[in-house]
Amino acid sequence: MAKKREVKKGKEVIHKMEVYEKVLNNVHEEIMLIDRNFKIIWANKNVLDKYGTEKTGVISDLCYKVTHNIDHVCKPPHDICPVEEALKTGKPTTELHAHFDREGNKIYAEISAYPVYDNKRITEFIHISRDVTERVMFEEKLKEQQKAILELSTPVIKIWEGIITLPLVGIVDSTRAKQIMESLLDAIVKTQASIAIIDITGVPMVDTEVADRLIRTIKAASLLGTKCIMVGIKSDIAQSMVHLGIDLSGIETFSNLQIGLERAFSNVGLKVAKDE
Amino acid sequence: MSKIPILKIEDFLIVSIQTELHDRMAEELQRDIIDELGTTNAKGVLIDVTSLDIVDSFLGRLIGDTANMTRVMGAKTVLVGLQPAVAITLVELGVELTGVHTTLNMEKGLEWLRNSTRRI
Repeated sequence: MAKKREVKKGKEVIHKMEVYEKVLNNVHEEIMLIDRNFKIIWANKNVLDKYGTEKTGVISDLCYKVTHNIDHVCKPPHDICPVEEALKTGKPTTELHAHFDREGNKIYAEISAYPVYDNKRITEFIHISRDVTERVMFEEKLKEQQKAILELSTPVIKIWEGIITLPLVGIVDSTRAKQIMESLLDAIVKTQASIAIIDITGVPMVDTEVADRLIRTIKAASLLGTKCIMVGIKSDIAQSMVHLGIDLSGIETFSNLQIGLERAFSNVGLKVAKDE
Repeated sequence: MSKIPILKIEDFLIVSIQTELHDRMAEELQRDIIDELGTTNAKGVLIDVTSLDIVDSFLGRLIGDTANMTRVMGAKTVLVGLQPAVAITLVELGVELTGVHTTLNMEKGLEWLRNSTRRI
């Protein structure tokens, strides 16, 4: 009877092992168990297939040697070692690593290190790595596009020697206002323009924050030595500005671009005349 | 500690700040400029800050003060080549630099000095 029970128990253990193995070997993640000295104690099939050599496998090799082929622990700024971080904080840590595959393609791996405790002391780490290349590439592309959109939304045009204009279209929020400030000041230094015309014809609404940002931009430009003219102030915007108590004294403002242009020309000593 | 040279060209003093300015150094520079102005009877001061990446509120105020001092002594001050990042910082800090004329480059600064001192 006793023997039978033992056999049954043994079968149960084997079955359990099989289940674990099935789970661990059929996920996409590369899973390793490593000790405090970065030595690999156990690795799943993905790791063995990817990095293992026929003779020895990867067991009892050092993790950085196996995955990065380097002789030291991964260091910032390139790759931060999540295991070291986890050892410091005692908490699970996730880091993003950039790897290169055999063909030299960039691969992004998200690496998590989960500390394993034994009597409140970290003895080992579970090291899980998953390929997030697609996601990271997508994010990078998104960031690039965002930047492109921001740049497109604040075009600075040189219209004459010493005169630049910045036509603003659409709603100006604080991010965009900051971008406007930076691109205008950069353009001023680049073109050495003495007059900058800010055209807000296409801005549907000017609240105190936007106005404040624009005034700051104008002040900063005047610190550089460039005079700013604000044009395209429609009647409703003029009304709302006055109601909001926005102080535009000291800033030259005009209702449309034409008058602003004339003013700018006269400022640099030019005059528009009809051909006779 | 190195000193910032003050050069006299025509009727103007040219001060080009090429290094980071510590507070003590800036105060010393202010004194030097005013002293030099007194001895040379220059009509204008041109301060070039093209290579200055950081200007804090202290330095901003000091520059404004220097301009006021030179004005009292009958001379004009022009600040040239302020960097965009510096201008943004000054505006954010609320440093107005009232009474200081600014130009984009040294050429325009000199031109402004010549024009504005001729009238006197």
